[in-house]
Amino acid sequence: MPPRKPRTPKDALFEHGRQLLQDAENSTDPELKKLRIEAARRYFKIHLISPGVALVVGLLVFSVLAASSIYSAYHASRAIFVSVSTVCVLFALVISLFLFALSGIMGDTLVAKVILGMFDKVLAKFWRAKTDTAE
Amino acid sequence: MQSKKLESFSKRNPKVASLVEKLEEYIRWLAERGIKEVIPRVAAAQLGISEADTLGLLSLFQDAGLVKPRYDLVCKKTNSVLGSFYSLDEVPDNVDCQICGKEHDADDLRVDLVFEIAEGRAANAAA
Repeated sequence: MPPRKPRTPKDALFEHGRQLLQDAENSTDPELKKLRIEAARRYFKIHLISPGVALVVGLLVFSVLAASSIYSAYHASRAIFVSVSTVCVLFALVISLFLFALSGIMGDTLVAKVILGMFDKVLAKFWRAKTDTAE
Repeated sequence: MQSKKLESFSKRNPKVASLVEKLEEYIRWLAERGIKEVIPRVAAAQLGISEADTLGLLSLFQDAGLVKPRYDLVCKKTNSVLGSFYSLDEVPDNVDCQICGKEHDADDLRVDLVFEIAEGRAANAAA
């Protein structure tokens, strides 16, 4: 099969970024892994999830939240419905921010940096726990 | 170490500290010779680490204000830099090449990522 014709001069750079992110998954040092992911995100605009995946995940989560609110409206008291709806709206807001940050839609804003920082910390803890278990 | 940010990072991550130090020494070495750019691939070869690790470390150096990323749009035929941009979004898909006298598209162009050494640091190293 002939090689795919590049659409823009940035294509090779994006491919390089994707490779960088894949290499990061194989990195044994959690700190270097974190730095590689940051480099891929920052220099090659490669994000942890694609906007398409973010959209699908977002729609699924919103459907579940909406269903919960509707269910509580029909089967629970007004106070419970208000509580459930409030929690659902807040949760939807947090999920939206996370998805926007992880898919790069938010760009390099402060909010995105804070969210990605939190995500990195969770990943680092998970990675450390996994390494400790393996040892 | 010239930067407090790098120093605190190295204290927190002793495993990576030696790599940070190596890269800092390399950047100082370049600046002393009047070289104003770090090419990640070349830096990686000099330090004996992967390009991915070098880019990760350079992101730390960028946060510390020691380097600044730049995208060079290069004509593949002549290897001439046709334009330099500080954001990937600014890089055009087509360009009129002054050297070839032709309009180039994605087939004739490539984008190179380089890191400019901050001017203050370069001047310090040269002094």
